[in-house]
Amino acid sequence: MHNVKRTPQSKEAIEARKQKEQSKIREYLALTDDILNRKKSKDYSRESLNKTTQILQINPEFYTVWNYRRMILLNGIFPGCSASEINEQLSEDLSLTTTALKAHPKVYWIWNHRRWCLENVPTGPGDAGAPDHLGWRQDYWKKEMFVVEKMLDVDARNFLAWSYRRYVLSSMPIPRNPKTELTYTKRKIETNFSNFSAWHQRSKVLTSLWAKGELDERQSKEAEFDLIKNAMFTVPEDQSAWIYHRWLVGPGHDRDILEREIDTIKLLLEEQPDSKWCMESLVHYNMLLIRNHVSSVNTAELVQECRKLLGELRKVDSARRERYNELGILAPCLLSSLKATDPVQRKDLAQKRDTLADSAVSQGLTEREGRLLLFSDYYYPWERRAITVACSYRTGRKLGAFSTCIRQSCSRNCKQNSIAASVAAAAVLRNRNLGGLETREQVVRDSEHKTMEKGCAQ
Amino acid sequence: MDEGAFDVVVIGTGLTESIAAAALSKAGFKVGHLDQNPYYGGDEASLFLDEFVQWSKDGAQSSGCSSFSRSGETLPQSRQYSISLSPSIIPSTGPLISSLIASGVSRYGGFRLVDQFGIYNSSGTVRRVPGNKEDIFKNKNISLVDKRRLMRFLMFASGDFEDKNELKGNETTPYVDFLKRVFSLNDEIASTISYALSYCLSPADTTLPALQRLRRYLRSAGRYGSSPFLVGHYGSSGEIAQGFCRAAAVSGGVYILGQSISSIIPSPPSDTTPNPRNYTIRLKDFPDPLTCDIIISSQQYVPSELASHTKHVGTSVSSEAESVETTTVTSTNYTSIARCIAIIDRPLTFSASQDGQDDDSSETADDDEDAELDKDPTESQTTNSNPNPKLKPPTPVDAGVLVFPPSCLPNGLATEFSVTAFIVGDSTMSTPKEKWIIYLSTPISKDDTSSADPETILRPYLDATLRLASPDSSNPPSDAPKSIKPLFTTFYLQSCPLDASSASTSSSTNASTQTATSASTPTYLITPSLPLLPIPSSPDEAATNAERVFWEAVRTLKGSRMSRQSRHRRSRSMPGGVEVEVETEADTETETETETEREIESFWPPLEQPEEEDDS
Repeated sequence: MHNVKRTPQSKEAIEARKQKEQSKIREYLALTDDILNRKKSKDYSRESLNKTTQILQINPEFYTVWNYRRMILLNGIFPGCSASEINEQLSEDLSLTTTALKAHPKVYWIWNHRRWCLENVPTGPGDAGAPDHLGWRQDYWKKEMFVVEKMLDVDARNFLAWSYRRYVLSSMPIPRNPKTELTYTKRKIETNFSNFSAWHQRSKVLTSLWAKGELDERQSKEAEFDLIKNAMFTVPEDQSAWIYHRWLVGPGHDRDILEREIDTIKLLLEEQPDSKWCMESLVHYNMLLIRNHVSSVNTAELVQECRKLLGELRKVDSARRERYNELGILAPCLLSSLKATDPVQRKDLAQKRDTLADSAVSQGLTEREGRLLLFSDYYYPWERRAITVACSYRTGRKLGAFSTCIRQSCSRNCKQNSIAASVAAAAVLRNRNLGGLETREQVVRDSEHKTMEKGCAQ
Repeated sequence: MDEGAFDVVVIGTGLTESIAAAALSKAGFKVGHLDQNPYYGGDEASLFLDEFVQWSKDGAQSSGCSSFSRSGETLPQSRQYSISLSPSIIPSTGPLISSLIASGVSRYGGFRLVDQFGIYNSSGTVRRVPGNKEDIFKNKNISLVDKRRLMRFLMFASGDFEDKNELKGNETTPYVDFLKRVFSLNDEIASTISYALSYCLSPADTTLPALQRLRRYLRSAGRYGSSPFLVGHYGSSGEIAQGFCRAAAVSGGVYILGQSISSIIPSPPSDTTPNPRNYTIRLKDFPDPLTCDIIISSQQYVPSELASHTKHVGTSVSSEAESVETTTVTSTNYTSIARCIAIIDRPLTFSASQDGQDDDSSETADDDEDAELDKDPTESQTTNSNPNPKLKPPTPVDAGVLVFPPSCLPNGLATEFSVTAFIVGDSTMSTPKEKWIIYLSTPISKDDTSSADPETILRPYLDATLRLASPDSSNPPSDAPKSIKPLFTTFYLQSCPLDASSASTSSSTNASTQTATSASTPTYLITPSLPLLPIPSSPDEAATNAERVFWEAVRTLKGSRMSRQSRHRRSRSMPGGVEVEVETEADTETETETETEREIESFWPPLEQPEEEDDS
């Protein structure tokens, strides 16, 4: 409390307080010991259940006890119970979690226990075939949406509640119209748009609606662009808006949209010349232009602009100047690698890859550059591999670092790529002293092939 | 002990006097509080409708009100109306709220957020006032670039701008010019910021005070809700004044209402009676006289023969360093307020406007997702009966402020000043169900005061406000909303007291003459009267003034006690040489100072704390 005078406490009072705390701690520790011992001895009695209730009310973060509680329920309580008794017990557990969530809204184990309870609600009260066969379950699910909305009313940015919301939405016996979710997220966003979870939820819902064809992607995307621009212009320093914008733009295949958005951001930058997210986004969208439309845009100018923006970024956000330095290296690398591969018209990936590797080798990529290229989002997996090979060729002795790199970067894409690449790297590593690139590539290809076979066999 | 003997007698139960009385009473002084009216609140009272009608007939002149024109007599359920004589809204942070909390008076009353703000713009439509980033984000009338500029300005205004380059040299620039020039804001937004967010009254208002007001309002948002302002139940100021009186009574204050004073007589300097009080006050229909050491009242109650005993307590415009409140309007070009009180039986809405360009409908029209908004999610499969969910009626205004910037009505006479409409409904407990009070007010420039007719001035604004009435539900919504007829209207003119700066200069001259003529310190304290202020400022101004009055009274009381004691001592032990007396007084003076410091440390003593709970 502020503005309240601290009343000086006597030594005795402090001592008494300490004593009280001590006795509380002793009690808690004794209870903990007791419960852990019971768990060890597989005591699944009701008495133990009550003990877990007791301790979870004090400390709901004690996940071992939640686990133990479920074991008691499954092994000790439920076997001797009728369906309606089980139902009652679960309803008790649900209200236990409700109380706990009110005080601890961000404890995973409570949310987790809640899910478990819901999933274990028995069928009933009616028998199979009766209209109320699923009555109990439906009752809970109806309430569940209410619970999660209450939680989000208290804290609209509770990501646990949001992810639980998605769980509830996907598990409800009678699914809701997904469009209501758009309305809900919009309402939350309008109350405070600095809400990564709400934007994320929105992106998920839109993606699924587009995929199902329930919403016209082009048209609704335009509406989203309109919405997000309002957020960007209102508070340009709010990262959540920029991330959503980036998601909307996506890989940037549509040149018109890209250029239009770049123009809008430039307009904002004019108003707010020190906006970090403005500049960073401009760099990113320029790179996407280069990446996707290399033959039809003025690449030199774009690279030049990126350099300028990055220079500015180093000033306004000096804590991340190294990152901006690296992005500055990336832009020309990207351009030259694209220029090298673009004339290869054939859809022969292997040839493209070789060309890219050749050009990377001939440019004399440093390890750092190579690593940057690997981690940037502007490359496809096959390009990454080519770069890897080129880099390993150049840098010979530092391959260890690269193999890790490859493993990490490729695991982003798909499992098989990742296996292939790590085998490739290992192969490259083994053949360190081999001479020509072709030989290396051969090794890599062979090992890739083997891995794929292995993958298929599995 | 003598029941009629008080340390302090406070005359008048206006907000300033009531807060001061409560603070003095809580600090342990014996307080008597008088009011000639049978109700609390003085010029800030909340009156039932029949009381208000009566007041307008006979009581108003003493409050400086005149030129009444009324249509309609009192209405049924008259006692369910609380008409405020000083309609105002309370910022959620500031001296009044602090006093309400620190004194515990907040527990006596209820409050609600003032949640709708509109501005009448030049094109004759009402727009919602965008006061925070969410409003700006949602607003469809402001272009993207203007959103950025507006937000940048609001960030500037909510921060510590005193040393910022943007402000340098612009402190006394007219505010609107400053907004347009330094922040490149367009006319409409500059006008919105100036009149509807910073509550400027005139285009001549200068930048620094307006910015300081705005900063406090911006920082008030979020304390009790997204809106920065509260309104008290039952007519706000009057009810709050009564709450403070109750707090004073709880700690031993004595209240006598409905009694006018027949005489105030200073006690003759006498050595014969032990402990003589400084004043004897007689009331018309009250047998026993009251005695007291000091009197606190506003200027209007001071008998002319006591002028030499008075001291004006400084107002916030005086150059005291601690005065952070710069709410007082600097321009002194106006001395009266034209007021209108109208009662209506149809709700108003800010978003629907004549030309149909209303925010809400355009918002719902553009994406079909909003069609789902009103549906209960659990019933979304079954309810699809509403054929056109777009026609969701906008929320009626139940506690809202509508601002008319100067010259916004083609037929409006208020070309130099803004007009404020404050609308309250039954959720503020000041009207019966389905009834609303509209308070309109605007300053009148000095030159016009003599000729001004409040009805002529305010009628066009009342009509414009009434056009916001939601269409009758029985009419098809496509009908143009018809203007409604109010059930009751009263227009009047309230003259503002002397402007504060001249009052404080007169106080200093007063003080110097007093020290010249009499050796004693003045024991009749005059509370500063409230100058004409923007609608959110007067309650805080009253609280600030009350605190000054409190400290002045504490100092004076200590002084007067000590001098009485010393006089008493002197009369017994040393048959007085003048020089000795002066010395004693000087000594006790310094003692008094330190004693005051030690005994009374704060405006409000700490509230009784609940026993520290064991968290078991």
